[in-house]
Amino acid sequence: MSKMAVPGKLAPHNIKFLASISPDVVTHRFYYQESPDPVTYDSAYVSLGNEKDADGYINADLAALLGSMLLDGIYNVGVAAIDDNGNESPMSKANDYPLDFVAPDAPGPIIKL
Amino acid sequence: MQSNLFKKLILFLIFFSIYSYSWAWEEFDYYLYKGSTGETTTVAWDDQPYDPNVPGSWCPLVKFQIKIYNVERDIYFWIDKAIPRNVFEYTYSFPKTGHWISMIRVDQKCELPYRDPASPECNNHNEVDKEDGHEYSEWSESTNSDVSIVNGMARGWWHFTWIAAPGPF
Repeated sequence: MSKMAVPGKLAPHNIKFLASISPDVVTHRFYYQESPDPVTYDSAYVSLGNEKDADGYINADLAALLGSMLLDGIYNVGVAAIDDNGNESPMSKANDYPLDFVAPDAPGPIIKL
Repeated sequence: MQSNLFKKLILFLIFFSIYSYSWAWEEFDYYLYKGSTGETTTVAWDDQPYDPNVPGSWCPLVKFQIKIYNVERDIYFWIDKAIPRNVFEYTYSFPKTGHWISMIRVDQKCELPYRDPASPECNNHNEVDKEDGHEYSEWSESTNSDVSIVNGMARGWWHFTWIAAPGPF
């Protein structure tokens, strides 16, 4: 029986990585692919933008970006930078990365004793 | 009949131009140094030895113009710099992706701020101050043997740059 996703409150899933040093980068992409398939440029992705903190890191909450996709499992993931011409950098990858954006089933109804 | 031939010729030309453009990036199937845009890279040129007959070679500091040319985009960037005569290397970053040729030329005017007062050639060359403009040498392409040896020859003008990857997370 497949697990039925229900609405709920997802815990934040924060990641950060050093932004590309290339001067004409306009955005970064987070790619994800269910393991064991390798993550590639054809995998699904979300855009992370190019807003850096004071130390040059891009920060993102994957739960906010991917929460509606109901991902729950082990994934091969990667981030890449895209310049103003649409060219894409090599990907920084992490394999066997757990993602869980499915809230547990609600408990049963409250019974007044 | 003639009209059909003309149409075929036009279609062929359109196809050929699109085909050629699509392969423009692959046309340069070699590069001597690969790096990332934004990453600093040092390029170098052959030393210009002192020569009493070569204006500019007298001065301890010489005004150079450095040009980096992007082959695919047909664009170039200029850098004007006064650097010591015997230091023929420069460090900068390439701002766009693609193949680059780095070139340098010297302003042979031996301008007053850069002269060595003890140099007789400089002191005898005062007339250049009266003239406007510059007197540039021919362009020289970079030759940095540290980063580019092909078949035993130092040929360092090709740099290929791509977007730098983000860091790990």
